[in-house]
Amino acid sequence: MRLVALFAIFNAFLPGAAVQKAHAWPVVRAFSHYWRIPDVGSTDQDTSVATFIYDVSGTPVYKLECHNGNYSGQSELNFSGTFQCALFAIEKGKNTSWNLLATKDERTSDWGNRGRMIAEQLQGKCGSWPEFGVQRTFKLRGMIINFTYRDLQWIDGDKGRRLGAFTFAVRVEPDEKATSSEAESINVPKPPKTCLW
Amino acid sequence: MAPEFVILDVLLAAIPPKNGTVKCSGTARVLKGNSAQIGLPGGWDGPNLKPHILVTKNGAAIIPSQWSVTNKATFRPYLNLIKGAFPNANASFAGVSEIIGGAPDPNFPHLPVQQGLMADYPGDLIIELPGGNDLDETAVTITAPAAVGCPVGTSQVP
Repeated sequence: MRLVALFAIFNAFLPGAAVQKAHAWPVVRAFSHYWRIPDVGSTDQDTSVATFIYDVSGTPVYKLECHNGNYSGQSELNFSGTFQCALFAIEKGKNTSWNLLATKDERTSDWGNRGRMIAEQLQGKCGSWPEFGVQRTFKLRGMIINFTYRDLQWIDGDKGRRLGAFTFAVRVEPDEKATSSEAESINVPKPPKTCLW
Repeated sequence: MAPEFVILDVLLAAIPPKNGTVKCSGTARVLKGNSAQIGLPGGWDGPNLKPHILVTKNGAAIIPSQWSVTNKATFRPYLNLIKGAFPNANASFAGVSEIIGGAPDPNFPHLPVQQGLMADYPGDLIIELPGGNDLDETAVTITAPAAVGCPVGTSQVP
């Protein structure tokens, strides 16, 4: 009894004794890759990208999946817009999360997050808007993911300017300061609704 | 009239015309949508669509599989032609402008939200109103192009 009491008193004064252990996210392997999307919206077909993010032991732990709004296949969510990406945690090939690119405040729709790109968001002032234009960063689960839309090819037609082709570049780096279970909210003002946000 | 022609008449009347509309009646679970999304390109929007398919105040969000949609691109021309009314709730919608989505239904956390809602309300047509209120389960009448047909939870009426 005396030993139990002594143990309790000792624990109470230990630094961080009352603090819960933070979630230990897998440490990811850094990587970067880019894809050229050559033919945006000229037909009713999908344009897709899929890749995995691996942990340092080589196990795939996340799947990045991108489609345009013509995609009608089976997925955890509906893809829309010019090009939309979603990130899922995976275990043994199966999704174990919803879209991790949506912050905790962006979970009422499939598209209300910065994983979706609409062509007008890449043009002019909209394109240069930090975090909402051609450059977007997502911090979560021990990593930083950066999207860059570059080499944009615009085509002028009778219905106005449209995006003909673009390069989509992804960079992933480990970051132990990124502890959120889904994309952190960002402290950047949103662009105006004219940028379709 | 000879019996064989009577039978043929009955059979022909049961086949909806390729042109024209159908009227459907049934039960819907009507959810309140997110009004902050009104005016933005919604779930039906696609690459380089001009004009964009925006979420509208008077439109509805649907689950495509309940409407037998297998290809979103080919279904888009019908979106503005679908109307609905909830006669017991004094509410209605004009056009389909959004696809139901978001994080999974808490009652079915391991299912995509559309499947979770259908499991929550089996047999009901699921409708979300971005500009409207939660109407619980209520009667619904739908008017849709004949090529669309009647969605889940409803059947054709004269």
